[in-house]
Amino acid sequence: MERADKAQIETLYAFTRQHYVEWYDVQTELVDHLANGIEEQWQENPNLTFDEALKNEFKKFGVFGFMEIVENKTKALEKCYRIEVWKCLKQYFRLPKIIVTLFSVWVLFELMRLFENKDYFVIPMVLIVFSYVFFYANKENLRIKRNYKETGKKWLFENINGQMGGFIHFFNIGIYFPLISNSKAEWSLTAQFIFSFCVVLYVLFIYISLNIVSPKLRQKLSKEHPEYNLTFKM
Amino acid sequence: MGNSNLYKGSLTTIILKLLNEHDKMYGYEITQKVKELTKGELYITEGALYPSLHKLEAEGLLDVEVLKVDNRLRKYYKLTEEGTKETVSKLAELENYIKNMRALVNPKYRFE
Repeated sequence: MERADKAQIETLYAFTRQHYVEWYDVQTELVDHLANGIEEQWQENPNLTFDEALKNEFKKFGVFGFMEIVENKTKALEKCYRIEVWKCLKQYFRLPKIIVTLFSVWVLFELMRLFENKDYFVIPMVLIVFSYVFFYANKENLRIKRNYKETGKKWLFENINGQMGGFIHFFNIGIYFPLISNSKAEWSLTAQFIFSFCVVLYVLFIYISLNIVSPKLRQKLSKEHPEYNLTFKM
Repeated sequence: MGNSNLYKGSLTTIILKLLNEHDKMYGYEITQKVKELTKGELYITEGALYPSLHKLEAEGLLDVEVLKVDNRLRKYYKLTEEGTKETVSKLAELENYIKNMRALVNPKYRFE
C-alpha cells in the first residue's frame, strides 16, 4: 500500500495550521488521521493525487473543519485541570491538612487585628498575592513564546497549564479589589475573618495549581508524547 | 446517515467497548472498525469521534501513548482501570436500553 511520504506529512501539518489548528499536540493526531484516510483512498483509486485525496478527507470533518475538535479539546483539558485542582483543594479541608488551613487563617486573622488601620495590612497582602499571579502568568507566556521560537511548536496542554485551566481569569479578580474595598468602613471581626479565609483559599488555589497540578500534567504529557521532552524547558 | 441521532448517545459506549476488546487503538482505526463490524451501516464521523475521545481522556477513562509509526506520529488510546469499570457499567446501561426498545417495538419481547 502506498504511504504518505515525509514531505506530504509536512504538507499535512501546514494544512492543519492553515485551518486554525495552532497546537502541535492536536495537529499530530489530525495529520495521522488525514494521512490514513488519504492512503485508504489510494488503495481504492491509485490514480488519485495527494491534493484531491486530501480535499476529500477534509470534507469529512464537516463545514466547521477542525474548529469544533480544537474547541472541544480545549474545554476537555480545562475541565481536567480544574477537576485536579478541586481534588487537591478538598484535601486541605479534611484531616490532617485542615489543621494547616485553619492555622493559616488564624495567623492571618491575628496579624490583621494588630493593625489599627487595616489598609496597612490588606493592601500589601492583596498586592503581594496578585503580583505573584501576574509574575507567573508573564513567566509562563515568555517560556511558551521562547519554546515556540526555538522549536516551532506550540502545545495546547502547555497553554492550558499557563492559563491554570481558566482559573487565571478568576485570579485576576484582584484588579477590582480597590473598587470593592471601602477603606473608610470599619472592619468587623467577621469581615476580618472572611478576608483571612479568602486570602488562604486564594493562596491554596495558586499553590495547588502551580506546584502540584501543572507539574503533574506536564509530566503526564512528557510520558505520552515523545517529542515533548525535547522541547520542554522551564 | 439517517440514524445518526439514534446512536449519538451510544458513541462513548461504542468507543469504550472497542478499546476493551483491543489493547490500544487510534482514532482512524476506531472509525474503520465500526464500519467493518457494521458492514458499512454505521460510521462515526470525525467531528464526533475526536471530541468524545478527548472527553474520555480528560475524564481519566483513557490513557494515551504517542508512537512513531512509519514517518509520522500516531496517538493511541487505551482504557485505564477506571475506564474498564466504566465500560462494564455503560454496556449494562446500553443493553438495558436495547431491551426496553425491543419491548416497545416488538410485543414478543414485552416484559412478563
